[in-house]
Amino acid sequence: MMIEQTEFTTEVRGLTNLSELVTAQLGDPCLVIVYGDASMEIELNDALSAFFENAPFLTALASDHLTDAARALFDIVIPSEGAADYAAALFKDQSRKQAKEITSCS
Amino acid sequence: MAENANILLTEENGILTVKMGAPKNNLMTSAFHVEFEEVMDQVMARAEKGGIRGMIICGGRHFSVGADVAALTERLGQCDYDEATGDLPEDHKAEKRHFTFLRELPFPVVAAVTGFCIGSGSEIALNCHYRVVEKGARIGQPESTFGILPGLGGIARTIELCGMQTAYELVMTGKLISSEEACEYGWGDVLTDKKQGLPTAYALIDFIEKQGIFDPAKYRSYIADYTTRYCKS
Repeated sequence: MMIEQTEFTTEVRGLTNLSELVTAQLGDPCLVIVYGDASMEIELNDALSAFFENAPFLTALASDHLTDAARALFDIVIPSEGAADYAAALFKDQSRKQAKEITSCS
Repeated sequence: MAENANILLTEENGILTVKMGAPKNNLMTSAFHVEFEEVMDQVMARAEKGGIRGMIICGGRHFSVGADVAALTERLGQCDYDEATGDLPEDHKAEKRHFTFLRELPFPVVAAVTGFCIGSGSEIALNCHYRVVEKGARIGQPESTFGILPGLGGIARTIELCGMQTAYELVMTGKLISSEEACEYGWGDVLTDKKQGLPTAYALIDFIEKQGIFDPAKYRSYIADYTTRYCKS
């Protein structure tokens, strides 16, 4: 698993199992972007459901391959190509404080 | 019905109509808010007496261009907001209630949206049960571009109507969307030609009345039935 943090986002790559998110050190982003491919295993369980339900950030799945059940977990679903541009457009001209406030309302 | 200088409340054939005609395309100044709240108090009082089939809120060429940002910024600067507790000032809560109560009214409330429907103006429309949108309208929540947030129920309602992804994108970027996009995203319920917003709003109220007693908690089911029958896919 690889984690990269920017001012507004945390990008997660290389998950073999989506449940790895539950214990991952994700920092304090507005948006967590998970790059997933068809090989990523998804075991829907209480811990994973609670993670998504209680997350203090929004979650985005950047993938072209996953199931509807997986997509339903995430707040945002975007094609894997262009995910970085999507985040850049989303937070363009935003201050971190402003973006956090908007995220907390969502 | 009592008449305010810029916001006219009338009743005809059991339908209340709130016609906003304030200067500068219903720029929501402090004076606008005072009048709006007075009219909404009258609506609340009238609703309690019963016999209302529906309510329409409309503007003129433009629904509303939203808040007077300079006045709003000044007013917010004077607000007694406790950042430690997060408690909102009482006057803000009261202001918000004059918007959010619309959803709880026991009759359908329809916004007939024309032209610009922006910011707090958009929040008036959002707090209605339904939005009939005329082609050429432009809708958005650009508050974040001014360093403020939609604070009158707009975020929660946009999430409810459009889903989290679209709501987040709209509020975070502050972009304006077209009437067609608004209806595609679920913000708007019915897309009409220009000058057909009000007739369509009346038709929608008539349709809902024929379905029986209006249950505001089930407002989505009525519009689904209406659009299935009368709107082209």
